[in-house]
Amino acid sequence: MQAQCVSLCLLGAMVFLCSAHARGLRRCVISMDMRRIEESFRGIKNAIQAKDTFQNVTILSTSETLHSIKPLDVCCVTKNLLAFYVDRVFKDHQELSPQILRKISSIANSFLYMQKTLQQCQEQRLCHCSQEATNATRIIHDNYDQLEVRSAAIKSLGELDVFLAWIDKNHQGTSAASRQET
Amino acid sequence: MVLEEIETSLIMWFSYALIPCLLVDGVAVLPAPQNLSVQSTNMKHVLTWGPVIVPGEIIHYSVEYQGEYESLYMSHIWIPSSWCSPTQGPECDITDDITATVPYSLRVRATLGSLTSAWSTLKHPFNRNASKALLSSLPCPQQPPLQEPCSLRRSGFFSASAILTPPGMEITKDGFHLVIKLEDLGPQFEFFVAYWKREPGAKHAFSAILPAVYRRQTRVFQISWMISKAYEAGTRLSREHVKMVRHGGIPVHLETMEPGAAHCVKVRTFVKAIGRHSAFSQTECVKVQGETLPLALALFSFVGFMLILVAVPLSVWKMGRLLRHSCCPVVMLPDTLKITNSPQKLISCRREEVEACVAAGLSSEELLRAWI
Repeated sequence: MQAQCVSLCLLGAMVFLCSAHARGLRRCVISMDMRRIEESFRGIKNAIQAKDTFQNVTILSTSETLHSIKPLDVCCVTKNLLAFYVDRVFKDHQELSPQILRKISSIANSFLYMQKTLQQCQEQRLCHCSQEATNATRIIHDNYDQLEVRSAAIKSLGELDVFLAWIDKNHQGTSAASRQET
Repeated sequence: MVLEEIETSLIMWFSYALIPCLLVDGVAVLPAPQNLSVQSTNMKHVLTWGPVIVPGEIIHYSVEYQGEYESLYMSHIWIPSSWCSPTQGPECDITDDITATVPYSLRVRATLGSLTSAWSTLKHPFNRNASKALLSSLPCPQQPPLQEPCSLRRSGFFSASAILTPPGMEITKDGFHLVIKLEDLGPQFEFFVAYWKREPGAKHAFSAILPAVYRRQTRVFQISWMISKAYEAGTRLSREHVKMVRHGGIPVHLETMEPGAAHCVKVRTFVKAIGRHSAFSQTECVKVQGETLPLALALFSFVGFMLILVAVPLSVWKMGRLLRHSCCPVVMLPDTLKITNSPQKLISCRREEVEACVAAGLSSEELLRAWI
């Protein structure tokens, strides 16, 4: 009787682990060509970063936040950071130069499209937010609030290359497979 | 006196009333462009409008756009178009402005010197992935701020649909190699190339059966026609290969063809940015020559090779002999000077064998004397 109980428990645990692993495999990825957005940013990177006066501070805090994100949390963190940029950074930044305004508009609208793609994942419950993911988002928001709004917006814009590279790295793989058609 | 006052006030009133008709916000009125529309073919988007005609004058137009982000978060921001601020013709290539797959609002106004018209806005926003099929399949989340564009999507209000045409392709035979060169449509396009070998047997067999069956009954003909088509499709699918080509304009090798059979190719484009593909192009088939010519060629080349294999050493040997005779000719000695004994024997005589040698020499002398 006891042996049966133990074996049933073991079986249950294995099934649970397998389902969790399978859920991790069914990742939510943005199958988008990030190169176009990275090209847009490269055109204005020097102009934006030149306006950043607080060189010793970082908002994204890459080592604390982005580098420590697990694969399961990628969807949640991507969604949160996209919302961070769309709802706060782009709105707080006042741009006068038409050339830079065009590139920022291109990036902002692409982020909006990416948000819509991730929203579909959220409806399929593939975008669960763990405590680590929520903490990482909170750190970034706190860093942003510590600076004056205009400076914070400029600094966050200057760190877009880090964010775009992180998205590119974490949203590959299945996107290539999903493109194959016969 | 009173009449004069009334007349003056009437004139003043009349002129004040006229001013708004002539001036709007301090500028004279120029009619706004009408009938704005967007045509999109293969990710090239062109905004066109009805021209404003003022006799004898050249009208300039300014185009501005606003992405979905601007319309939701900063609706007062309109961005001047990259190439059309200003432009002369009643059209504008807005490809470089439409850089995201979201609805874009567009507006145009005419200018003539210091006169400007009112802004004329595109009736329904343009999205570069718009198509009738796509409109009905997209889900519509309820959370703000995405409600507004979602309602626009649901109602099917788009001013144009993006058209993707089948790409042009050029098939060449490089010996037995099937090489394809695709139309260069830019960096946003990828190509899916499907190619297969067409089996001559199956099609001919069924084409022979069909007329015979048709003579019996129409229904039987229809069924067997369907079976033949299904079989043909099945055999074709089992041998169909697909290759993804990332860039057009460069020749790409598909496969090595078998002689005697037809090889068929068709291709369609895929645009990752909007997640849509075009229709397949027309199927083009090529055939390489049968086996008779290569066989004759092979036989001929084999015979030639064998001849060369024999003739070359022979000629080399002959040449060698010729050279030896010309460089170092063999001198013919007269008989009297010929040494009958081997010169080696004379040289190798040693002291111990002197007597034997002498005896050998004497014996020849004796022979000579005897003969004399």
